[in-house]
Amino acid sequence: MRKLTGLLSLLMVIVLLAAPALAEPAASPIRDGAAVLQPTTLADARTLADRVWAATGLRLAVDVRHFLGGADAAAYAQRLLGQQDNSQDTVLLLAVVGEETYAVASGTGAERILGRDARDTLLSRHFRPAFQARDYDAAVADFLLGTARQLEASTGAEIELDGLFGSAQAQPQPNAWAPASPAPTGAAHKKIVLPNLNDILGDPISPTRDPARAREQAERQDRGLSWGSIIVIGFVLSAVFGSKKDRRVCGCGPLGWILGVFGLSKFFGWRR
Amino acid sequence: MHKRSTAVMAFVLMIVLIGASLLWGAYRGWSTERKQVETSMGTLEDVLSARREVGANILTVARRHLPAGDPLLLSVQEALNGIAQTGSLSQRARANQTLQEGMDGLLAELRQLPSLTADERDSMYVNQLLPQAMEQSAHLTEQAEYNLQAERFNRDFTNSFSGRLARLLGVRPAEQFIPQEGDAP
Repeated sequence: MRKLTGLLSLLMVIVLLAAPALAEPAASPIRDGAAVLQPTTLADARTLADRVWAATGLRLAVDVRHFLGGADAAAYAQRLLGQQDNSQDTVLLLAVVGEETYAVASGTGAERILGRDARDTLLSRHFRPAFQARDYDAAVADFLLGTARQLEASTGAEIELDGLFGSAQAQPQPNAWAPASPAPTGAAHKKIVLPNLNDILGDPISPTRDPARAREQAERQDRGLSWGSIIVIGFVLSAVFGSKKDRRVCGCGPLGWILGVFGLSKFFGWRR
Repeated sequence: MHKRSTAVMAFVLMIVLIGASLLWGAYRGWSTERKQVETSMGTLEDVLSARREVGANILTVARRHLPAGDPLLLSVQEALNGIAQTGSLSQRARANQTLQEGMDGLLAELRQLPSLTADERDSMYVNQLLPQAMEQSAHLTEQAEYNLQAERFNRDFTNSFSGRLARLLGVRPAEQFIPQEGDAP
């Protein structure tokens, strides 16, 4: 018994210590659902987004996907923006690789810091050329760096950019992007295994509608008389109505009542 | 004599009451069961929506490599419309079957094209990503909760005595998401 208690205590300590490590990390505003970006690009993009957020209060978010399942990119970007933690202060860039389309959505607070004209200029100069040439790392890097520089100029904030996206890209010339290789050969594409069908759907299947979960939910919602309830009701009815009868005649006590309740519950659909 | 007629009346009344409660219980029980099957229809709509989106993704890639009038392109587009329409479930199941055949054919046709072979990204889509998505969505559709519940309901409904009673009172079997022989493709 002592051993068991000791083991249980040890297990609890392990669980408590491991809990913070197992906790879900905060959702990053930079998401590559298409797995087309290099890990260094992703890391640098997250670092830059954090620095821009700290310096200007503007949150930069990027979502790269393969497809939208026929959904409109602008509407989808707006929907994604609404799902962000600080949507009013966020500028969200949606890049849909397989559909060769992109869109930007901004919150009202973000538009005060980075106006629509400036945003559209950034897109056309710092994102579109590389995106159309399928150099997605360069497209994302150039857009984020261009946005950071634009913010430095317009707000006067200082944003540390050195060392991000490689030293060559840290000091790019304006409008100087040129494709490294002719389209459409593309930058080194990784072999992709579809981890989740929702990654290429515009309207993802919600967990509650997932067939297995829906079944569990339906079973939970299926309320009715359980066997225990039937037996208890049978006993109660027997105690109330059966006490006046001569039990020696039947000899079955509450069994008849229980079977009666069982039969009625079956007929009237009360039974679980 | 009077005592006997009272006993007969009581007996008849008992039989009538038993019969009525049997019918009422059967009707109510099976109606509730059928409503439960119908409420799970949302799960089927969800997976069909996923199926349409996978079809739309395949069309997006195919349009970059095939002329707009390609028969397979048109056939997949038509099947996508067929699934979206509010026809009978068996008609939509037929459209789903046509969509599967169309998508298989479209992907096979795309694989033969030199333009696709030369395009690394689209080649990856046609050879890896889209077939996986197609398979997953087909599996989800087969496993849709609605179909399983409708099948179970119909089996129990047909094989039970109370089910036959409920049928007399107007309860109908659930329509399954299975193409029927007579449905037009």
